[in-house]
Amino acid sequence: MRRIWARLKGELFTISGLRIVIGLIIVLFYLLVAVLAPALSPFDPEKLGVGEMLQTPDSTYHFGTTYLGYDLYSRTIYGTRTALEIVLMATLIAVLIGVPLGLVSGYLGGWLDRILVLVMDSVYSFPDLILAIVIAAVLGSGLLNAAVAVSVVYIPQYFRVTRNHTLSVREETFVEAARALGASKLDIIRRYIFPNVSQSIPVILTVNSADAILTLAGLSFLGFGITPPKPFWGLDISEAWRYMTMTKDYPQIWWWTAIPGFAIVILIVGFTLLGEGLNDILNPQLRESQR
Amino acid sequence: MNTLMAPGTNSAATPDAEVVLSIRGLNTYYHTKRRMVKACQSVNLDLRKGEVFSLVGESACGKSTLGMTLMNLLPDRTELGGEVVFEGRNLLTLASEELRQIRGKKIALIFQDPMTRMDPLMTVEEHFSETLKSHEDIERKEARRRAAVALDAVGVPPSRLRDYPHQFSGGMRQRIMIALALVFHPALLIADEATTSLDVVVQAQILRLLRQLKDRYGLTILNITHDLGVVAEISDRVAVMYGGRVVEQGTAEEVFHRAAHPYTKGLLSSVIHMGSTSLSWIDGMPPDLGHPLPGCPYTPRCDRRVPVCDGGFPDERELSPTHRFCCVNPSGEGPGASGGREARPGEGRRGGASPR
Repeated sequence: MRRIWARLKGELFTISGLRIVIGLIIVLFYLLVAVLAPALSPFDPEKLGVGEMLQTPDSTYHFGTTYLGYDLYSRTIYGTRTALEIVLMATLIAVLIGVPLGLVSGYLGGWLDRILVLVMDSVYSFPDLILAIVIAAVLGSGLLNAAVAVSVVYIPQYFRVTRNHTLSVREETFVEAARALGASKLDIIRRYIFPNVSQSIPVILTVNSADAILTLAGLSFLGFGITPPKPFWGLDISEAWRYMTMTKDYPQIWWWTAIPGFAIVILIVGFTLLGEGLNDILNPQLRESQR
Repeated sequence: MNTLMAPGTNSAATPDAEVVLSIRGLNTYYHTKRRMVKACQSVNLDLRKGEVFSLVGESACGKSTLGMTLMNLLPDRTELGGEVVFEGRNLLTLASEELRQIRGKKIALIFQDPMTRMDPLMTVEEHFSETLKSHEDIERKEARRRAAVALDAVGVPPSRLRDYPHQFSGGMRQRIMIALALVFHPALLIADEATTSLDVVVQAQILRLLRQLKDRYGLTILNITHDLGVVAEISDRVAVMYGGRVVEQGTAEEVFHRAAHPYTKGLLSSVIHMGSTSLSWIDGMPPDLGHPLPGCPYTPRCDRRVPVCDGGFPDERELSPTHRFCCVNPSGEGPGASGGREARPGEGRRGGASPR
């Protein structure tokens, strides 16, 4: 952390520094909104008919209402909570499963490595959303289930990055020296290899978070994972789209899709900027080649 | 280390001392996809308590493999034969967990390149606590105390425990590696080219340190090197390896002054002497251990070869109770009688295995 800060201080006004700062501001803003959601939202996001149906945005209903009279402003704010909760859980699950498996697979090698690589590659070769839909369909709806469905998509990425990095660190001579001093396999993985590999994790973590939100939005748009009346952006867009295709009066109710849509896009931009910026700073080789 | 110091002046070799490690008929064969490399063949050695035993030979003669075999730090598919007896147990057949408990605690290994042998993300103190914790349940404070004692013994100020490896010079790092290796006072220290990448001054300091530590802790040191200067400096006994086999062994004095094997002679005469104007070398290349010859591996380069040499590897012959060699047509007495070839300075080198 100290290292990152030291580098960042020197590069605050370069492109990657700015990327990190802007990304961080956006992500922190969403975090703040999520934490303060009860204080910020004027209405209960899950309560029907708090206003007339399909009110245009005004001073009471800042973002307008849906056709069931939900307050879109409150729903958008609470949607931040849902989004961050699930993304946090999903990335945590993916890291906790992908990284240890990658370490073990890369260090021990042999048949275990072959089997794990085969499994992970098969998972990775599935289109993200389809895989998530299958898992969400099997597990049913609910926050945790949605998180698991999203995390399965990303486990192979953590696995592959960790495993490949482990393969190169494993050959470092200090690992051999540690073995000669009697370190056990577990200690070598835990104390010598993991710290040397861990630097690549924050980057995939932030980039994946952006991706995970998109997958999650797609999932809920298609009616899996999160179900109404849970406030989530993807759900609102989905309902709006269904309503619009039925009534054909979409230019008049722009807010119902545009605002949750923007919420998704801006958060993804935030995570992406943060991830790309971190990647530049944590990965000096890449930095050199870009100059 | 440009000149050979008078060998045999080190602490007296004690032929009756207890045998710490006994190697009998050791074979180490690497299996690669296409072929088998016979890196060590029928090696017999005894290491006695308190001695410095040097294993000499040029690159690719199997000497490092021998060191790694003793710790069993070889690739999984390596084929091992014979036995290595340490404290009554055969190290080659021990379960990996038993072997792990011996590594670092009873037998320690230090390596050639101290610059890359430490984890760049761990402080010196963490290196010590990791090593201590892998053999004993130990508290943080106690680990720090023992690390400080160990560092002090090798001349590194304990105040630098919190520093990272990149903050030390090569010599300092080698000292730290030695301290790490000796933190449990092992019975045997294997030094695999431990001074090779260091400059001459630091090299001399490290050698002096090793000798001091040997006397203080009653260590046995197996010194693996290609530098005859280092050998002369610290060895009690010497074994010369060629093509995966030990071709000659004896006390340092016997090997340096009464070398019998033509290869030993050649090796000795390729040492650069202070003030000499000519370079001497052995023609040809070290043998390919993947395609061993039926006879003596040195035959193609040997200037004393006779037809029998191709027939099979010669039996060991004894010159004295401590001095043995494997050659059917050994050189006569006296150093530098034959073996090496002379070159004038301007002539340059023609594909010789250059002495280092």
